[in-house]
This record gives sequence, C-alpha cells and structure tokens, in this order.
Amino acid sequence: MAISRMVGARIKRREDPRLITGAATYVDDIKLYDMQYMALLRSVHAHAKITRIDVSKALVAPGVVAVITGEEVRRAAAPLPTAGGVEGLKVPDHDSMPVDKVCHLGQPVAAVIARDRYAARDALDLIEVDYEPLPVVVDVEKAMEPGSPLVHEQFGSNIAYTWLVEGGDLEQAFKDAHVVVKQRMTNQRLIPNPMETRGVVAQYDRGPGNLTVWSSTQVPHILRSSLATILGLAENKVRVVAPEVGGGFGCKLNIYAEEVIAAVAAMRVGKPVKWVEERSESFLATTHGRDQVAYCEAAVAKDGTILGLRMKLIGDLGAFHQLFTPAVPTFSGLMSTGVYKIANLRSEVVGVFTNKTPVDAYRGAGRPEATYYVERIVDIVADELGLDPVDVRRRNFIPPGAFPYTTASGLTYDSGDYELALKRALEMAGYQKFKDEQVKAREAGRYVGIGVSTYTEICGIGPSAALPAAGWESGTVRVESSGKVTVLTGSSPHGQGQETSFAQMAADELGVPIDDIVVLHGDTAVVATGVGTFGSRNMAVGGAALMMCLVKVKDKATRLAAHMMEALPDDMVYSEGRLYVKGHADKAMTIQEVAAAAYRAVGLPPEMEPGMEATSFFEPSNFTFPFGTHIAMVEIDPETGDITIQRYIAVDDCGRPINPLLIDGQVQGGIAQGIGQALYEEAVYDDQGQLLSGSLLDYALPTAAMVPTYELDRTETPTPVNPMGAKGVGEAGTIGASAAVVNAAVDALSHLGVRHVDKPLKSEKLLRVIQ
Amino acid sequence: MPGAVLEEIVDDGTFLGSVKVAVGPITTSYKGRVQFTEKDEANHRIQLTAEGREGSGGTARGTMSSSMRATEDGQTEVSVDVHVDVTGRIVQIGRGLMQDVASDMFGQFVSCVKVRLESGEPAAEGAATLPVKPVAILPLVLRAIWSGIVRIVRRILRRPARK
Repeated sequence: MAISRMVGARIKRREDPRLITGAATYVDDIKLYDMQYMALLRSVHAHAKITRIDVSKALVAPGVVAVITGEEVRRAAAPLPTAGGVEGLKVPDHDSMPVDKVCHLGQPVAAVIARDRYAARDALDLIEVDYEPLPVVVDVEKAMEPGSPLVHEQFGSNIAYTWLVEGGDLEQAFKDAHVVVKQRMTNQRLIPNPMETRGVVAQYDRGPGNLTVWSSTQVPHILRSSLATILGLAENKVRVVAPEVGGGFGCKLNIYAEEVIAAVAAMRVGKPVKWVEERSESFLATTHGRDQVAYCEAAVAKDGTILGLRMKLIGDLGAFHQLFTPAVPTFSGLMSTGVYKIANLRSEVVGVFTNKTPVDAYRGAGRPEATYYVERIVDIVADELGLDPVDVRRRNFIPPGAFPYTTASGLTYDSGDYELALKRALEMAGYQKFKDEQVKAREAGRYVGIGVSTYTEICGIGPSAALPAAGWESGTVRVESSGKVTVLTGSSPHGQGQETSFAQMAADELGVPIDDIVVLHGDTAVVATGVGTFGSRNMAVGGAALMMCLVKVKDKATRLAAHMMEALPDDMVYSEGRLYVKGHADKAMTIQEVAAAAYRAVGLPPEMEPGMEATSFFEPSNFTFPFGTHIAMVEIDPETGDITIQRYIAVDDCGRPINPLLIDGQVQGGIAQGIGQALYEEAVYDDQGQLLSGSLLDYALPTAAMVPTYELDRTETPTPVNPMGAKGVGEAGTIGASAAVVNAAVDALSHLGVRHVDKPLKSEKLLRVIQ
Repeated sequence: MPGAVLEEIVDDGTFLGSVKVAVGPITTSYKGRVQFTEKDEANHRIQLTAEGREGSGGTARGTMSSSMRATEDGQTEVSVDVHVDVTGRIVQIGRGLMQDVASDMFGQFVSCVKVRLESGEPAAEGAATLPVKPVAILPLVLRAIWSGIVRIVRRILRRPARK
C-alpha cells in the first residue's frame, strides 16, 4: 500500500473555487437554443375537487406556446413512484398533475409553456380554475380518528400502514420495572431549504427519440430509470444530468412531478423546456421533513437501567407517498434504542395521510427523530430517579466489547465506543464545573442548563436486501494514456466534497498528483450506473466502490509492469506511483509510463486487454453506525423566554477520517440544522391546510448569527464494513443536535418542575412555560 | 373602499362587485358578493358577509360587524370587527403584510366615509356614482413594510438589556 499522504489530511475542497467565483453551472445556468420556459399554476386549496379549468385566455396570451393540464399529463405519464418498503402499504395513484382532485396545497394543476419566464408567469393569472373545496384534515392524530375527512376516500381510512418491530419480552420488562416513565413528544414538520431550489431542463431529440433531462437531483440514475418507466421510453434513450447541485439534504432524493411535466412539455412542444422553482413554490412542492408524534414509555430499574421501551410513532406522511415517504418513519422505529442495550422493545409505526405536502427524507431521515425520543427519555428517567443524566447514559451504554451488537430491533451495530466520545466531550465541556456553577447561577435568578445527547445513526445505506431499493454503489477508475486519472462515481455529490475526498484516495493509492485526477459524477451518459447520494453513503459505499477499482487498476499496472520487466508480478513493488522489482527501485517505471504502454498495446501479456480501467460495484454487507456525543449549554432569559446557546461541543466518530476538513464542514452544517429544529423552524398550517409559514419571512431558518461557534473533536472507531473503515458523516450533526439543545433547555428550567417542552423552543413558548 | 368596484345591486342587501388588492408581491382581484346579514337600526348594528374568488381559485370569505354608540362628549364611536378567511398565494407570500395592508385600506375607507359625511352627501346614492380610485399599490406596500420595520425597531428598543 502506498504511503498515505492525502488521506487523513485537511485538503481544501477542489470544487470551491468555481463555486465561490460564480463559475459553476447549475440547472438555471443551462441555456439551450430555442429553449422555452414553464410556469406552474398550483392548487390554492389543500383538498378540493377540480370542477373546471379554462385555459383559453392563457393560450392566446403573448408568447405562450402551450398550456398543459392534468388530462394530457395523465395520457403521457404514469403516476409518480414510491419505493414503498412497508408491507400492506396503501398506495394512492400520485399523478404528476392531478386531473379531478387536489390533495394538498401547491399541487400543480396546469402548466404554461412560453417563450420566456415572464410570459409564462403572467399567463398563469389568465387560467381560471373552479374548485369545490372538500373537508380538510391537517392534524395527524385527528386524521386517525374515525369520521375524519379522508385524503383518499378509496381506502376508507387515512392510515397508510402500520409497521411493527419487536424484540425481547417487553411485558416482563414492564412487570420488573421499578418505575415507568411516559412522555408524548413531537418532531415538528420542517421545510428543507437548500440554497438552490429545484430546477429542470428537458430536451427531446425527435430524430433518435432521446430525452435528456437536467435536474437538480441527488439521484440522477434513479431518476433516469423512473422517467423511462413513467414516460414509456427505453431506459437507454433517457439521459439525466445532475449538474452542480446547490444542496439537497434529502429533499432532492426524489422523483418529482415537475421532472415529469417538463419532459411531457418538451416532447409536446418539440423544444427544450426549462422550469426553475421559485422559493415560494419550494415551500409547497418540495418534500418536507420529520413530522412525527411519539408516545414513549420506558420501564426502568431502580439504578436507572432501562429494561424496556414501548414506542408508538405516528408519522404524518402528507397527502402522497414520494420515493421514501413510507420508509422514513420506520427508520425511527428501527433506531428506537439508540446507543443503549435495551433488550426489550416494541416500536409501532403508523403512517398517516393528511392534506399536506408529502414528507420524505430530510437530513437524518428518521434518525434525528429516534435520537431525540430516546435521548429525551434518558433525561426524563434521570429526572424521575434523581440521577445525573450522564450516569444513566453510562449505565445503559452498549459496552465497547459487545460489537458487533444486535439490537432488539434486529440491526447489527458494526462498531462503537460510546464512552470514549462521551468522556472527551464531558472534558471539553467541563461538565461537572458547569453543574456546580449552575447552582450559583440559579441562586442569582439565571436559568442555565446543560444538555447531553449520545447518538448513533444508521449510515452507509446500505445492504440491498435490507432496503426497499438497491443499496450498492458503482465506480470507475481510468488511468488515461497520458497518465491522468479519471474517477467516475454513481454517488452524485451535491456539496459534500467527494471531488476532493475521492481524489485524495486515488492520489494515495495510485501515487499520482491530486491535480492529475478528475472526479466525474451526475451524468448518466458519463457514469453508466449508480444509485445516488443519501443516507451518508457517498464515502462508505461510493468510496468503497472506488477502492475496489483502485485495487484492480493497480493490479493490472503491476502485472503489465512485471511483464515488461520480465519479472513475476509477486516480485513487484508499487510505491508512490513507481513500479519496480523488489530491491531495484532505481529501475522503476512510473504509472504514467505503464498506462501509456497499456494503451499502445504492443507487447502486452497474451491474456491482457489494452487500456487501464476498472469498474466495480460495492454491495455493503451491513450499514455503518457512526456515533458521538453532543453537549449544548444554554441560558434562557427569565423575562423574555429567549434562549441562547452559550457553548456547543460535539465529539463525533465517523470511523477513519478521509478529510477532516470536510468532516468538520458536514458536522457544522448538520448541527446548524439540528439547532434550527430545536429552536426555530416549524411548518405551520391553519385548519384549512393553508401554509402560514410559507416564506423565509415566516419560516425561521437559522442564520450564521443564530448559531454558536462549535467546539469540535473526533474519536476514531473504524468500521469493518468497508476497506477504508469510514462510516459517513453527512447527517451526524443534525442527528445529535436537537436532543442536546432541548435537553439543555429542559435542564435550565428543571428547578421550576419542567420535565419536557416540545420543539421548537420559541421564546413565547418558553416564556409561557416559565410563567 | 380603495380598489373596489360595485358591479350590480341585486337587492336591498346584496351587492356584486370586485376588489383589487396588492399584498406584498401579490396583486390579485376578487370577484364576489357582499350581503347584509344583520341590520339592527335600533341598536345601531350591522353585520355583513362577503365572499370573493380569484380566477386561480383562491378565496376570501369574511364577516364584518359594525356598531355605533354615542360617547359622553357627544361624539359617535364606531367599532368594526372583521374576520376573514383567505386561501391562495396571498396567504403564503403576503401573510406578514396582510394585516398592515388591511389596516391601510380600512384607513382609506374611513377617510372616504368621513369626506362624504362632512360634505353631507347622502351615502347610499353617492356610493354607486363616486369615481373609484384604484388603490395605489406601491405606496401601500412601502407603508406596510415601513410599519413592519417600525415594529421591529420598537421591539428591539423595548427589549431589556442583556447582562
């Protein structure tokens, strides 16, 4: 193995210069000859019959080329897909453009295609739609009641599925319990806001019958297969390109109506069609996140040992299943026991339809929710028994020697050392010192608190057999005849920095300068196969595929060099880009020379094909389970209820680090999103399903001024699941953060008898609690 | 009422018309009906309900109750209570400004009524004939934004100093 110089180093992101100088190409930067623009008229009702659409005035408006309604889309396209993944799931037809009924605010009901964006937008105002409003159901628990308005009448109920995971003997655990603690908790609905909204350009080439779709997506290959199926085209006549993607956080891990409608429009008008989502559309039409209600009960022994956990999780799915809508709440169920050896579990998940935008994956997708429940429960147990929350955590931790550890929900945790991360974080925070000072602060009338969250998450998604869709990833490494190296990956990054980290790995393994390496992704015509980016999988799965390729390429280079040097491959050394017979470093060939020979193809070994390229698929044997400890220290203003995070400490363990700078970036962004959920963000609907927090004026996305400086550190516990030992870190910050902050806030108010406050901890809510 | 056009008087208590409003970046117009649902002359109380629809399907539905009472110093106090349910883009985008725009429009309506009362013109007949001035959108928006800014500044100033 080459001496590692790049891997583990804080290499600056190679993609940043083009991003920060405006030289990157996003969907909206794509301009094609004779391109038309699409604008969508969206439902203003949460639930209504469409009784009439009159597009006649819009059709004759200046610049308008076509107006498309649901009938036409239904003729041209099958409903949008869901991966399902839950037994007995009720799946309503989800038309890209509904024909006779809308089920949530913002569903597209007509599309105008015009010569420019202004003409398209203006013509929307000329379309007349008659709706017959239907009763609306917004509250997920009311939606479960008999007699509730039905989102989809044909099912006779709003319950889309019930899913159960059980392990051990829960009844016995509750019989043996010294005390039982119960808490209802919520994970409010969040609205993802990547800096770049979604966008699509569709182009249909009539000659060969090829469709090309540029989309701001995390999953170009899944989109390609899905579009082919939906539109009845051959998969190899569809090309999807995800150009630069300005953030996704899970909300671009989908097959969206607009991708289908734009394709239908392009085929209809015979010209390229562009649609770029307005921020206000994004609030309604891009999937939302979280939205769960949980009823948690823990059976606890006198010493704080948690004997059993009973969870009922109610997932508000919104009106339809998008790609992973039903699966996300089941992740919460699977991860119910967190980092604890809770042997007895019953976790029931109920997925429920409401007249709201569909919920799907959002950074963490089910694991921030699970972590929040169990981490809050541990604090409540500590409060009940008068113990320190840290001691209760330690008493229940899965010990380091117990890995691989099988949880009551049937998962096998790969590796972990929870005490290590906890100890480091407590030292950094000065936990005991804070606790001592808290007493004095309280005497002075100040409300200060410290909150700990020890999390684990399910990452490196994942083994295909354990998923509703394929979980492998593919990669290709090609040493060009010039010795430059091209890396292709199917896990299409959108801000995570794999153009840097993958190049670091290739540079180390092949011994070529990092500047000679190009990492390509996101274009199905360039990267033949792939799955995409989600579930912190790029490094743990995509990186592993890359490692397999690198091994193959090195092997071929070694065999070829051995042949040229008339030596045996086993006698060869490949070190820092030079190949030589053991003990003869002075007579080396460079990898560049070997590559040139491979393409010149004169005098190759008889069984060897020309070229120097390898493609691999990595199918993971298990998920990875990163973990860590987050600690928040907060102060709440007794007069105003305003909460300030004074310090935030995070010790994360994502296995062996490839680029610590990228890891820090991921952790910081993740924590900001977790803080957002803990303190600020919330989708608010009125009882008619109108979104009251539908703009950035009303939806409080945290800004840089609203989050503290983070104090970060890491421990390193490698995973055996992939050759790098890396676990993935894209979601860790979000998963650890919201529980830490809420635990700190509750701690700050615990002397007032406060045991739980639901997120988000807005000042008015805290003030009411204080009063 | 700024932006309002009376299109048809159906009967004594029912009117059809339209009103054009701008809230924040949204300009829209509602077509609909206004109806008196209560006329209590003895107690100086009226209530009316209004229902309007945008072309794109958005709706506004509301009731307005108004009563008058004599004050001790010989003046008349008019109180108005309005409740409106709105659907459509205006809720999503313009919600933060809606209250301000409504207050502003109502202020203009009041000045209009005041002018009429002071000129002694009989209101019932004047209403249909008086030229309707469309509501000036930009100043409205600016004023709404300004009052928003003023509110934020006041909030900051009122905040207790921290530590």
